[in-house]
Amino acid sequence: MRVAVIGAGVIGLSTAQSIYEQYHSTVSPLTIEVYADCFTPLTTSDGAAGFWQPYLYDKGNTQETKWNKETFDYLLNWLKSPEAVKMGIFLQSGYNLCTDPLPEPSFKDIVLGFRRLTERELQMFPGYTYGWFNTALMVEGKTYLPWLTNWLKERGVRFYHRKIKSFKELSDAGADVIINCTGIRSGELQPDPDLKPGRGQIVKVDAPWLKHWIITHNTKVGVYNSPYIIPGSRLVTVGGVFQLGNWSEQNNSTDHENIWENACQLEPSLKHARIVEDWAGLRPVRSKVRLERETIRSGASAIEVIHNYGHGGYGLTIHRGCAEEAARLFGQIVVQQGRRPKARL
Amino acid sequence: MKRVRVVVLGAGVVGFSTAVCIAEALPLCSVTVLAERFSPDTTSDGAAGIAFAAEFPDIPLERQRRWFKDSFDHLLAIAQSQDSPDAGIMLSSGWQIFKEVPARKKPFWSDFVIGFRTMTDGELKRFPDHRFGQAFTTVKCECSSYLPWLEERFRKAGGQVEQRKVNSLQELSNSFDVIVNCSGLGSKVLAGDTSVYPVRGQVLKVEAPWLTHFIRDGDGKTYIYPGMHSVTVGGTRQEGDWRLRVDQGDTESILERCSSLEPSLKKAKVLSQWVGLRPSRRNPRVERETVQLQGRTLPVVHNYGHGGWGVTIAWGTALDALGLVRQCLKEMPHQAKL
Repeated sequence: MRVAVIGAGVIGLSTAQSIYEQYHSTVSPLTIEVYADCFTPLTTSDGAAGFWQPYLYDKGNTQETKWNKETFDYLLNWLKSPEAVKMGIFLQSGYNLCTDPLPEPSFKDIVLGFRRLTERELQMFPGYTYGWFNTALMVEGKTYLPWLTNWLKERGVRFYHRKIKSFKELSDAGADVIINCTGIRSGELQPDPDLKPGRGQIVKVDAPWLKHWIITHNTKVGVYNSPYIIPGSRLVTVGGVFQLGNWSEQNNSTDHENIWENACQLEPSLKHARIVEDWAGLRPVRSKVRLERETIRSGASAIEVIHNYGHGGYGLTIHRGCAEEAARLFGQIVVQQGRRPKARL
Repeated sequence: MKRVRVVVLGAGVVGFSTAVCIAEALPLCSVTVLAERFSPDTTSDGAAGIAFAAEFPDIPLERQRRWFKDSFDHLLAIAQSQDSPDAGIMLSSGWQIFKEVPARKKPFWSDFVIGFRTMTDGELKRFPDHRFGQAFTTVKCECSSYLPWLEERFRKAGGQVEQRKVNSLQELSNSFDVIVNCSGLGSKVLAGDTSVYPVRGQVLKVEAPWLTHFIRDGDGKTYIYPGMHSVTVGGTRQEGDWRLRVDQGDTESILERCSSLEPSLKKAKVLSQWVGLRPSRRNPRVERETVQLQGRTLPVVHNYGHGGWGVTIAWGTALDALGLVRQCLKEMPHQAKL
């Protein structure tokens, strides 16, 4: 069976991994190919801070909370192994700050040591009256994606640097199943009015004395539009903005000024930090993740597509849960097409 | 009216903390720090500097609480300020874990650190050999930055610094009016204190920027302390051991013990190793006395014997020492002192 994955961000690579893990011993031959016009370190996943945390509330989307949890547990389990360093995974604790009391977030039982902030801690952050402390995970794209790429290459997955213009293109070339992990540019393959860019801009600085992430929440301005400071293994990511509908991937100096000023107010020691670079990226925003099968009729034939895109600002956070689900959907296709040499139920 | 001449012996964290307290509070005194060794060659420089209290058997609990709280609040204020990177002080969260459940689950200092609580079962899963743990946020004070920062503050307050080895207090009787002894292990000779003894500690500095939490075994012998530019892993507690050379057996033991707590350390590059002698004593000596030196009666304020807790209580004991210096000055006639 030939599988063509379009997209080499965290979603594309991890989906390829899950499909391989689940089916390489039962589907033979299983050829997996990754097609993308953009690879690490230039994907959206690479620019992200690499911090595991969903939005505060899933708005009833318990499916996504389940996938987030699966991802957290999966990454946490890797921590037992020295391999975790090569994957870019590590623990980091920090503060979620609110200007007013808010209901507890969807992830409170997923992360480690979740608790309310004490009075003393709130005094450290003037202007914020409420919040939580917990230990979460970092999974840095610039390390994780190369690790995934290596993992896949070692198992015979081939990579092609090419922009795919249509699903038909791959189907005509012999792909049995196409996995669409094209993130923000999914609309180019199939229009989707629900998919919009949530533009973000960040400043990366050298501030090695910071060992806690600080995320602020301001219900008036919305998610990611208030300051956040996320130390990484080498640099600290300072943000943020969330500009729905803005397609510009250029750094904007007004955004830089606002981000920097707000962050320095939150963390005065940043004034001494050396600014290394700015980066802007487009979160692939959607009302919910599109993770489903679609059979596209093309004349007499059918193109089997599994969509896995629209992860907004929580792609790294949810990737494994979605990849496993996508692999499960792939399994349905395998059974339907009678490709399984042994039935395994 | 003559200025009172105060000398502070020792340029480690206790010496400079005490000198700063005195110079800033008593501007009419002339204060000199006199020491054989300065940063980066003091015992304080090698210490990881995580603020973490001990309990001394004979010091009233109230005084120990005050030492810890005053020091912690002082360091925390700097950690929260723009001075944080220059002064080498940062916030550090992490875990203290125990193989056996300790008798006292909530030590006296739990009120003074931030967010102290018992670890959850989920958190303990990562440490299968340990059955109990405490999670909290404290401060880490890196003396290789903090001491120069204190020195600058000291000089701004009019303080003088002199590099010199002092073999006996006799040498100081003509030049100074008050002696403040912060000479750590040196007090064995300078104060004739036979109860001072070294507790040898060896540490490694490794490159592991993915480590953001401290992990300390409750026995005090195994710890991982991520700092600004490296992670300090240790350690040893060898009482009465004066050896300053790195011991290869200790190196292997440290790496083995720390890697079992944190497997990713196996991948960490070792940057350097260091040995320090904790200036230990049954209790720190923070008290005053008068001594006869070459016909003069001189007040001496002692502030030494902090063992492995120098960074943790330097500021609190410095404030105590300042109080003792004030008492000495009150008893001195005919001199400009305050």
